[in-house]
Amino acid sequence: MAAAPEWLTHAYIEHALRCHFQDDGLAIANLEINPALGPGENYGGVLTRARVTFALSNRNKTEQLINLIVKTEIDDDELTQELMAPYDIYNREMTIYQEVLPKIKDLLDEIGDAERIFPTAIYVDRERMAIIFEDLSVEGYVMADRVRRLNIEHTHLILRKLAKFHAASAVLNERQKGSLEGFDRGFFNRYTNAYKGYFVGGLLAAARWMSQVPKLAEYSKKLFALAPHYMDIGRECFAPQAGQVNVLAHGDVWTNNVMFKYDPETGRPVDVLLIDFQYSFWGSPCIDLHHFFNTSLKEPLRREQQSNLFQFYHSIFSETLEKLDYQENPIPSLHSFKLQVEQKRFFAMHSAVVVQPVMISQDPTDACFNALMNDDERGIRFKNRLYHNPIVQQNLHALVPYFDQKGLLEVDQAC
Amino acid sequence: MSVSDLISAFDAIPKIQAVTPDVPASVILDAPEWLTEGYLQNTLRKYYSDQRLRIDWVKVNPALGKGENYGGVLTRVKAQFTRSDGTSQLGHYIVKSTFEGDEFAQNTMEPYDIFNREMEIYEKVLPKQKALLLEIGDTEQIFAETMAVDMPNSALIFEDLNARGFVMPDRLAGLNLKLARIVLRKMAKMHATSAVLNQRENHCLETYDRGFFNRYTENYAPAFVGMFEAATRRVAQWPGFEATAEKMKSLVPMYMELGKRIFDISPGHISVLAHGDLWTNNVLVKYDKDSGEPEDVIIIDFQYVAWGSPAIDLFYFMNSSLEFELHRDQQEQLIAFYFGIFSDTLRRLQYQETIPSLHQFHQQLHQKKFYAAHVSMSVFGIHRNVETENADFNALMETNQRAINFKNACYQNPITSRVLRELLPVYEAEGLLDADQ
Repeated sequence: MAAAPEWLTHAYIEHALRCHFQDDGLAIANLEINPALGPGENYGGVLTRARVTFALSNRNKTEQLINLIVKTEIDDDELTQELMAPYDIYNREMTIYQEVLPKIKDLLDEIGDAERIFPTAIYVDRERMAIIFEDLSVEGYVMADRVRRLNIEHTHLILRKLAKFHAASAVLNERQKGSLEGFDRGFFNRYTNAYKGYFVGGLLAAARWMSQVPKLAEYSKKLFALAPHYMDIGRECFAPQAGQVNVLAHGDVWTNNVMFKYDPETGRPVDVLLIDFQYSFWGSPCIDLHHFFNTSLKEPLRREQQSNLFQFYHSIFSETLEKLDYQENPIPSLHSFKLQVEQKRFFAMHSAVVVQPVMISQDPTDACFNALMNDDERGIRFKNRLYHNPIVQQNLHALVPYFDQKGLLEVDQAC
Repeated sequence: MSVSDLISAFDAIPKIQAVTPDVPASVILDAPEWLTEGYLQNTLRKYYSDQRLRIDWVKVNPALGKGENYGGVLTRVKAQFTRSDGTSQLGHYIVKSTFEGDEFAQNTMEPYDIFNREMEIYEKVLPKQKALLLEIGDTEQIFAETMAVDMPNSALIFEDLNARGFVMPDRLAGLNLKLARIVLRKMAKMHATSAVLNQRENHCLETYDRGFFNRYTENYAPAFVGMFEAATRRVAQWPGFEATAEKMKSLVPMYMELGKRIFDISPGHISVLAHGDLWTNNVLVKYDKDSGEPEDVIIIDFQYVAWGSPAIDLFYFMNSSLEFELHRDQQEQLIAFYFGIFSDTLRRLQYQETIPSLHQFHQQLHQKKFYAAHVSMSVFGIHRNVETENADFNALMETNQRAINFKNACYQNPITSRVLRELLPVYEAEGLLDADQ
């Protein structure tokens, strides 16, 4: 496990808590620090757990316990750092936790909706690129199984929160005169193609496997032809469309970026929180939905029930927009919304063909960020192996013809 | 007196015919009054450019039964005739003429102007589309050859495709994949050539704006809304469908407007001359006599052509005329199949406007998806109706008890019920039952 950062000291944490509780006399009585995750569990940061007993200055020194998670940037090799720099993921997440999420919470409070959607950041440190959260695992929140994926109950919980989050972000942007529109560095953006090694590399690995399969060989030809245009098409997909309700998309909604709370007696999920806002960007809410459905849903939910899931999301999304008195653009009817869903369907293809195989892989060989992002021998081997997974193969058999008939394998699709 | 006058005068003198027991007497049953042997003889003379052509005998009788055609009178003609060179020939023809004497029908249909339109299309438009296909070396026959266009009698005379082995497919069964693809191939070529024709001839096809839904008349509302209301009544009886039935009821006031929007031209969308009524009964099929496999198709009945979205034909055809599994599951695939031929033909004819990508085409169609719901919910029931005793234009277009009973009966058909049961939830999830869609 990645070791805790050396600057994460008693003094540091005490200072952080003093800022959060606005109490200069706060004193830490006891502190336990431990690393939180294993390799391949999170490419987005180093997580460290801190269990802190402290006392506020104005109480009669009664001790309180707080469990913290500290998220810090990964100490990547220089090449990776250079590759990832234009995405600016650490700054973005800090800005969102510090400046955006609290305001979204306020907006929802305005309409009497007190439901928690995301964890609160206790402390944000721009210098050290660190964010300190309350440790949700202590409240009973856990990550679901990314390989087994989610059923309808889990899905409805996520969709409800996502719908409210999206709607509130649209209203926030309206009231703050376009403040969120500057978030334009999602996975596909006009500043960098750095994810090309992963995305186009994955597409080609899929195409290579498909070319060996008689039923899929004709489609593989299309994927090979699509590869040189792939990043451009993705960029166009991510571009916000005027006249539509755009939102602050989460940017990376999948099993590992949400945490569930389960009823201890029934074992059913009762709550979910969204985490990890590193790739958030201003754009269509449908992009979050396509990514979520195609990386994280059990079958046959993903193959057969999406229409109902879009409807479920839409009813909460439009209702929340109405309650918040959104004015800027017409609130889409369900039919209009389904049109957008189809418009952005390229991202469903991308999520199913390129991203999901990574998410549900159980093969730890070569599983690291480098192999994912690069086109070297190791990277190619790693990606080829993703398509040996029988579940991935089954999915491609079912979905590639479906994407093809929608015209999503064509080079000219966006024109 | 000119020579030709003299010849005509001679011809007009009744000739003594040798009595040959083999030559039957002419029989004319239940035909329009102007449809006489003399009329037919004149028509044939004109068609063959042979003024000395003589009919030996004719057999004339009605072509269709009740419930098979709401658009006019079809009469079958068999004529034995001898040409001036002495050769004898047996001709088979279909005469299509307007309803006679039914004031209600005539008044209802008048603003749609279907008889004039069809004659115009056969006379002026279809031949040009055929010529465009020939330009690119495509000799596929898509529609019937016209023998004569008789404006004063509002009649069209075609060669009877029956005699060439073309038959109407089973109206109640729905077409299979092979047949569906043949129809779609022809539809694609028709659409593509119409788009090119319109471009080359100064937007001449854009005046065709009186399809089933148009901005001039709502005369067919009793049929469409009436059927939809009958569907609503049926659905309200099913456990679990109460909320759906309520939604359907709320949709009634918007129904005609939603239909009209389908036929409105959407800016930026590709437009074609749509057939307007492309379903099983307007398609004639030639089956291979040994294997029984469908080999070819001819499209007929151009009364409701309209300039607009290809969705008008695609959704109409796919939601009325297919086997159930294709109707429910394969429409997107069939659209992709159609589009390959449509875009290819446009390119070969050097269409000058933007050809959408397949993805964009799907989106253009998606905007018109209400039409798919309309056809499944309100038109399918008419097409598949099995209680033909009361199946006539009046039952469709009136609002009296007989008409209501007819429509209710359409929804007793288990096939029609199944379409509603399985597709209404799909349409609801797409927002197509919402009044404010």
